[in-house]
Amino acid sequence: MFLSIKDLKKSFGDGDSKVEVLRGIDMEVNKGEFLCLLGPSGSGKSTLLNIIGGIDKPDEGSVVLNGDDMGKMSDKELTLYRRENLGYIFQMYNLIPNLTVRENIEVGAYLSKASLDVDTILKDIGLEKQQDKLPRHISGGQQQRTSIGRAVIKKPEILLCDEPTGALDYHTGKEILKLIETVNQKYKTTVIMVTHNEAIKRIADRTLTLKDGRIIDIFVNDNKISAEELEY
Amino acid sequence: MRDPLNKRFIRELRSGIGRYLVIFILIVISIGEVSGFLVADNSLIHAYEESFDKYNVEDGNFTSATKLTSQQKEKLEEEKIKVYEDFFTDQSTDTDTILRIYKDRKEVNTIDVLNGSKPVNENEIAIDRLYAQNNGLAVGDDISVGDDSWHITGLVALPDYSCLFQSNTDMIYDNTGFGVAIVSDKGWERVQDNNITYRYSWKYNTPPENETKEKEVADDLLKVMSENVLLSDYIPRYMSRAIQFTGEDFGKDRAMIQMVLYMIIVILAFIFGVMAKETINNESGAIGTLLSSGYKKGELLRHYLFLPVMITVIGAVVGNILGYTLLKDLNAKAYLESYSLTSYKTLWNAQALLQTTIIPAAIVLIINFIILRYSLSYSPLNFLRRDLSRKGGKRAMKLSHGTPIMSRFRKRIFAGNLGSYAVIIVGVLFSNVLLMFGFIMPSTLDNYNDRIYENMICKYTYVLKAPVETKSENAYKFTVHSLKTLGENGYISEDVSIYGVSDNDEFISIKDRDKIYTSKSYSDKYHVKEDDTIILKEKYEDKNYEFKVGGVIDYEGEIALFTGFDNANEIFGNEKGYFNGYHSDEEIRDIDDENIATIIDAKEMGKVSRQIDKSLRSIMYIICVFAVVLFVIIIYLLSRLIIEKSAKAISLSKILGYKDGEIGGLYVATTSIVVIAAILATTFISKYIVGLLYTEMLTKTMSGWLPFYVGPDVYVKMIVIGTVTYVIVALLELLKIKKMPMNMALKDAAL
Repeated sequence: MFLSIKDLKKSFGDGDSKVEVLRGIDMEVNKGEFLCLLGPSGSGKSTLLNIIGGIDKPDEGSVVLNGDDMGKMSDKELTLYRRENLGYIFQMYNLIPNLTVRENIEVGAYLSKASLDVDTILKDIGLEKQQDKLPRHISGGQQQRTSIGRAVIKKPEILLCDEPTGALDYHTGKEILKLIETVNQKYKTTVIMVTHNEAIKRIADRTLTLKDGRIIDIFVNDNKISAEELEY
Repeated sequence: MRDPLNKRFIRELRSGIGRYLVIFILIVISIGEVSGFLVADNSLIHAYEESFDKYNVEDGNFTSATKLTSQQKEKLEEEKIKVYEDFFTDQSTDTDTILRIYKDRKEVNTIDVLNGSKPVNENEIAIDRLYAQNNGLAVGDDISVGDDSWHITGLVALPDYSCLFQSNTDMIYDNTGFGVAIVSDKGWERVQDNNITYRYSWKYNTPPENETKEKEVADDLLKVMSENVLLSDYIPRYMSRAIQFTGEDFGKDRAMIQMVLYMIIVILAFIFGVMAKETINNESGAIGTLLSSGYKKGELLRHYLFLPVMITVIGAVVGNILGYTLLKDLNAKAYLESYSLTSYKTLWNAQALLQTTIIPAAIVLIINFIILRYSLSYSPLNFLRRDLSRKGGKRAMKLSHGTPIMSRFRKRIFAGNLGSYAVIIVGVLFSNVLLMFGFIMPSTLDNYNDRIYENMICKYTYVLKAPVETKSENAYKFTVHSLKTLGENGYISEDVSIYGVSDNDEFISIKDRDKIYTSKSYSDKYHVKEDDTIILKEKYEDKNYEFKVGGVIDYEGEIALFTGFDNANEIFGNEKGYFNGYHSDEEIRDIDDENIATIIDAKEMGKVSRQIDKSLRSIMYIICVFAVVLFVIIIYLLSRLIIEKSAKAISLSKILGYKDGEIGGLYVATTSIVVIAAILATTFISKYIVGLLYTEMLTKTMSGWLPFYVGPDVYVKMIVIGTVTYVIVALLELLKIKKMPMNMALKDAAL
């Protein structure tokens, strides 16, 4: 199994204010799979994504990627893990504000010894003309495209997407989903996408629904449609 | 209802306790020191000014070659003055110092006894407190003066010697090598056979209305005295350095120290401003919400203005409390180690309170008001969208795509933090100017001492009271006449020797014997060059001389002019062949001491540097320490701010997989490049700024000249101190980056 998660638990706070966010998550992800994590706010899906991304650490349980147990990794090893395996896409894009579109993508390329060509990526995401603009001078959709460019240029094994269309209008959101779908198909990148938009599960291979820190439903999509066909 | 936002102040203070505490401490120290200084300065200067009436200080003094006859005295007193005897004798002590002994004064220049009592018996003496302190003498000790032994009964201050100048023409006072003392009438009988100087003090029957009048009256009086007395010295009070130097020095230090305080406050105000601007950027969403909800910009402006102003005011209050207690005595001690002052009481100084409380608070208020007003000038929508850039903001600076990304990244960080870096550069410059000021005197003095022999025309310069021939070979005659500078534009009036040197003088070579040449010291101090015109005045006559400068002679030992022997005699109306001095590399032994006015040798030249070194070394050390502290604080606060400003980007870089070292290489390295470049550049810029200040300081406070010299060791020390202190700050910043959590990139700032 490419990614295996067992009995994952995580809580925040102490005493009376303690909140159990993940109460024992078991899940597996195949290489090249497009997985959706669905659920309402506070269900624990973003925490789960952060733990997979090595940003946060679980209280209990294990996360094993390609046979490597993340729980046994030091901070330095976790940094290398993120550097070599992961690409991140955030709801609020999280671009570096004083770098241009091109430079934000190059920041991703710097992390890989065999990154993709920057100009090719710029063409793929349709931002060749905007490449010398700062993030504040382009639209939200273009910023999210840049964010995708930054994530995929280093050819990550897993693309972690946290509500990537949450701040975008319908059309722009759809464009972004198409782009993520392309990355998934073109580079065989495993995609794990957090969303609370139930419609999106129709473009994923599988959807896990979380509630109160537990997986309450697993939906295997036998009638997967393309992002182009998606309406929500 | 109270503004609920006010509840944030304590939380904001807690969250930024490190930086607020550092700023607070700097304010307390700076204001405390300045307040202590102003209180001490004010109290001492009040005592100094009061001493003129309290101890009936003379309006002037003159020295006659002989004791005045009663007719002479009557003639002088016709000029509406009263003349008092104030004879003294200069005696050598067993510790190789000069003690000037007076008979106890009953009418003018009366004595303030600071410790012990006045002498009564024949073998008793009361000596100057500062001289005693510097020579390890105390009440009850015995001191050998000349051939006699004296028992010290008291430590005193003579109000006409608040600054211990042995001669009014001395370059600098020497409170270790020279002191004053009084003996009883019986004691005076013991010394009066010894080389008495017939000095007389005078008091005007009606004091002149103002300084201008006083000068006019003094000039008139000089004419009468010159006609009736064989004058060897004439010093109206306003020209007496032993009396006036202290008062002049008090005032000058005050202006300088206040300037330093206000510069520090301006820098801190900008740091506050940069911090507040950054907070506004971080909280823009919440600000937008508040503005949309009906909050006025003025209310938010007052809110963000509150902490900087309150911290300054509280810092000023605490600083003033320290100033009036602990630091007042420390500052007074510094003065009392330089000047021989009469007793003083601490005075409440309302002006000092204003200058150290209201003005700093006003500086912080005004600068932050301007910065905040600008930072809050966006529309609520701009704040909500976090779009805080003018008209869409500046375009990205063009950088070649071929340049490595990390290099471009660093350039962008630099461009994005220009404001902070500007304050860092100003702060580094200011610290380095202070640091160089602290290092410069030891360097200049060491250079002066090392070059004493180089700076002398010859090993011995003899100035004679009358032309006396010598059989000594290789002694070259010269004629010397002393004039004074005009003392305009706030410069002091000082003596200038005009040497007429013999044609065969091997020590000084003059191209055109009819032209006037300046020494290099003169040229450096008064910025005089070839073809400029110099106007000098006769010391005791209302007569000016105008000289056209023919060139500069490479001689730094003295403020002097040189011309041909015959030309000098002609200018000053001497007989042809008149001379009154010798230049020689060998000691001349066949001229009686009584015919010699002065011998300038290495020992005499060394006296100047010794006193300057003694009086300035401790204050220079304090300035160095303060400069380093200021440097560390400014760099620490601003580089920390740059890191905090970039916290989200740093956190994001960590998520993306950047190592701490790589992130440090971006953020800390950019600041490091700026700081190191600023240290290097400002070290050399400081030389010019300090050089200008130094010339100004010496021209206005000191006669003579010490060539400004910055040794290579000064540059090395400054660069090493700056770099080492920055490395410590950089390590702290790297630690901060290491500890910065990754989830910061996922958070949204909230008010």
